Amino acid sequence: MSAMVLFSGAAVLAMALAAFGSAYAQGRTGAAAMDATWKKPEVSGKIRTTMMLALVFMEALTLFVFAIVFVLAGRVTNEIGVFAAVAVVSMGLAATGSALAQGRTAAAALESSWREPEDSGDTRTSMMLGLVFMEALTLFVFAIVFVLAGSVDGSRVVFASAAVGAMALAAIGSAAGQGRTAAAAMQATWKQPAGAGNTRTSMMLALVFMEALTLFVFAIVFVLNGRATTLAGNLFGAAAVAAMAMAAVGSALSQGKAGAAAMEATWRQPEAAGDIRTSMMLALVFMEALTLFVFAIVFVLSGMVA
Amino acid sequence: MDLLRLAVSGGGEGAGKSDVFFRLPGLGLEVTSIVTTTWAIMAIVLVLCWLGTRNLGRVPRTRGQALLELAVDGLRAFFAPIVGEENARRFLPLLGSLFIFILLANYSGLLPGAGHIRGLKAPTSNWGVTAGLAAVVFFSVQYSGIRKRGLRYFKHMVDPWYLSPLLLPLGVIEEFVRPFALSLRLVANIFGGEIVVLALLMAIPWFLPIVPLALELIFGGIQAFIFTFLTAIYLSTAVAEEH
Repeated sequence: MSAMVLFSGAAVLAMALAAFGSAYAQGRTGAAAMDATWKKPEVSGKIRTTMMLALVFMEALTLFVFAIVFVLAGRVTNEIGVFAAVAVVSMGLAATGSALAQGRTAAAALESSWREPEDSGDTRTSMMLGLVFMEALTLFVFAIVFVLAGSVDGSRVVFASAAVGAMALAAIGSAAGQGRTAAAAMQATWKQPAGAGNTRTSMMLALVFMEALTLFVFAIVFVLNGRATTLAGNLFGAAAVAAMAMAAVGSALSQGKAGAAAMEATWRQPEAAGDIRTSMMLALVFMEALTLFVFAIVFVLSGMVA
Repeated sequence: MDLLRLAVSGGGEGAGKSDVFFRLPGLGLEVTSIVTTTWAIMAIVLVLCWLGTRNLGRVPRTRGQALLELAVDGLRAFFAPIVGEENARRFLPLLGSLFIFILLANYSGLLPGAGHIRGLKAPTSNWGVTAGLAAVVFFSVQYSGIRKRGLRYFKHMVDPWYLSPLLLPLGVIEEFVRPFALSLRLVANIFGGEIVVLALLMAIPWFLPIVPLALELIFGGIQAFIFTFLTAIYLSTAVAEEH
């Protein structure tokens, strides 16, 4: 009984978190759309389409939290109550992170679509691409909650709870980095409309790097899950995923900064787009390697602990 | 031992279920789904190349030759701005092979049933495979550097001689860290992506898995690109004369 109370409380909290994040992002998007509409009334149709597409993505984030609450509600027992509670709150946090980044991206895209109305199609494509990446981050958390919910029992509840929390942290970090880069890419699209394709390619590359960071945390959780049955395995696993999440957040924030700077450099000097992309990728590779080192050391040590 | 088994199996399988078809006689090497998929990819590439180069002309007469020339020219034009025209030409066989194999290997994991039916599993979701590819890169880089520049290749490790006690170990470690990170980046991306798609398929099989599947299409291409891009950079720095 008490587990159900804990879970229900956590569930409503998670829903509120997700709704807050989605609402804030939608508010930002809506405001940017209104702004764009009075500045360029003649393209109000295009602006509305862009806005609607962005709003759907943010709405879906809250729906994912709803879905996971629904999935877990039927499985809550006293043994795994803590896990279920932490899992839904983690989903809420991840959805909030994704939504805030999406809001930032969509607002920048809408500004771009009134500043360069002829290229609003290009902007919309880039925006959609960015939003899909950020949406997927929450889906990664969704997937790991689902995987862990299938195997969790009393013996690994500590690890499983830490793992979903770590995934949420990593997703928030990745989303923050992606939001910064994508927003800069939207700005680059109107500052240098001729280079929109180049900017989009660079943006996509940068977003893949940041997405991979959350994917690394996902992979390590999956690997450790099979071993976290003893007390030692639980404690080590919890520490390991927390370490991975911290590393991923650091890498993602730095990559976001580097990516955004690359986008700005691309519109300031469109002829150098290829050189800038090469340098950007090298920088991103170094930052990513830092998280991969944590990955490797966790992997090696996990064999000794178990 | 446990670690080794996990690394070779890609981390996914439990110890109980065996994926071994047969063992290669004499060597005792296990032939698993990953090996059979690798063979299939090799066969496809070989057959395509054989078909395309059957009757070569100065001007492409067959569709196969036109297609292959398009691929080779495209790859060379792609690497030229990154590593220079000469290096792009010299290293194209290695870079092109790596790119085509990794691309097909990544995409083989998107085929229906991949990972579930015996005999079909993305080779690059296995650390053993990507480590093997990275080992090829490691030896190619060392070989090219020493062949082009002789002992001067090691100069960057001892350059201001008074710093060499610090630079030498760092330089040696870096040479090993590069292929290590190269292999881990590829496998963690493909393996992680597979598990995400699998988990979402189990959770909500309608529409939702489209998002990670679409992302996997992008990831598969970009990871193949990043692997060869970094290989090209490592090779070109190894053969670059200092100024």
